[in-house]
Amino acid sequence: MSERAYSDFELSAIQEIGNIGTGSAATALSQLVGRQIDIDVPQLELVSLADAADEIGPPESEVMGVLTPIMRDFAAGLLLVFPVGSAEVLCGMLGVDAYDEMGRSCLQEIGNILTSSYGTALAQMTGLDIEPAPPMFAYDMLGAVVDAVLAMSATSEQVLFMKTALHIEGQHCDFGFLFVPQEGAVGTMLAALGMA
Amino acid sequence: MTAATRHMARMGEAVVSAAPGDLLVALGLGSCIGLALIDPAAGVAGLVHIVLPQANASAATAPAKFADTAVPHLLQLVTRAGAREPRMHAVLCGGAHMFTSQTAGNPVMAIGARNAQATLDALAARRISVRAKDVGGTVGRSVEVDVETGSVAVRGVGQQTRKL
Repeated sequence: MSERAYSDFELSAIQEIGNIGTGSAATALSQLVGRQIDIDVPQLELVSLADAADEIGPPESEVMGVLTPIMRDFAAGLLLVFPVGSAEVLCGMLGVDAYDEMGRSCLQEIGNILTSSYGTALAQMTGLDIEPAPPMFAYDMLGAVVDAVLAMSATSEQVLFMKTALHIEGQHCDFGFLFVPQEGAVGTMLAALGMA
Repeated sequence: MTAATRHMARMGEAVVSAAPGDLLVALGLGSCIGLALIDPAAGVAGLVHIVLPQANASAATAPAKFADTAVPHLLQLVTRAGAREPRMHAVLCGGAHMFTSQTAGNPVMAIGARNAQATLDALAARRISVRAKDVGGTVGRSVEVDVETGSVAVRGVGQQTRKL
C-alpha cells in the first residue's frame, strides 16, 4: 500500500469545493424545472478502482449517463447518472420522451446547465480558468457508462471522486452527480487555493 | 464437494479457477476489456478486467489494470493453477466507445479501441492464440466464463447472449 495521496485538510478543501459547486448546480436545475431540489451531502470517495464502480451503483443497472469534460487549467469529468425511471420522470416534466432524440438532447442540456454552474462556482473559488466541453451521452449498463471516466482518473492506485444525489421535490426522480478529477487536477486545485 | 462459485473480476482485478462449475464474471464492461485465458484440457480459466492500455507507476501493485502487464500477470495465475501455455487460448470482449458527441479527439473516446489493440498486442507478444473476440462498438458488455467447458457468454443491454 502506498502512502496516502492527500491529507485530511486537503480532502476537506476538495469537499468544500464540491459542496458549493453542487449547491450552485442544484439552484440552476431548480430554476429549470420550477421545483425545489434536495441534495445529499456530497461524499468524497477515495477508493480502489475495483471498489469505485460499486460505490456508484449496481454495475448492470440500466442508466442514462451525461458526461461533460472540463478542460483548460485542469481536466475533470462531471457525470450525471440517471436511472432510466428518473430520466423518464425528468424528461416528462420538460415535455419530452426520454427515449428519443429530444430526450437525449434534454438530458445533455441538463448536463450542460449543471456543469456550467458547478464549473463557474469552481472557477470563482479557485481563480482557475476552466471550460466545459459539449456534453456526451450514453444509455447502457452503469458499469459500462462509468468505466472510461474512472479510467481517466485511475492513474494512481486509488480513484478520487465526489458523489452526491439530487432529488426533485414531489417526484420520483433521483440521480447521481459525480465529479471526477483527472490526473494532476486535485494538485492544481489545491495549489490554486494556496494549499499545495 | 463445494458449491460452484461466481468469481467477480471488478475493474483492475483478475480471477482464476480450476473448479468445475465455477463461473468467472465481469459486469458492465464499457471501454474496459474482459480477457479470458482458457486451457480446456486442464479445466482451468482466468479472467482479467483491464482498464487502461499501458502500464504506469502503479503497475507494480496493480498489474491487472493495464493491458501490457495484465497479460503476463494472468498467464502466471492460470499457469500456477495448472494450465499449460501451448494449449491455452484467449477470448476477449469489451473496448467499446460508450459516449457519443460531436467533439472528436477527446481522450475518453479512444480508450476502448486502445485497450483492445494493446491487449491483442500483448497476447501476440506471448504467442497466445485468440479463439474469439467481441470488441468495439458502442454497447457495454457483461461476460461470463464457464471454467469447466471454457465457453464464454457475452451480453449487452437489450441483446441476446452470444456464445464465444
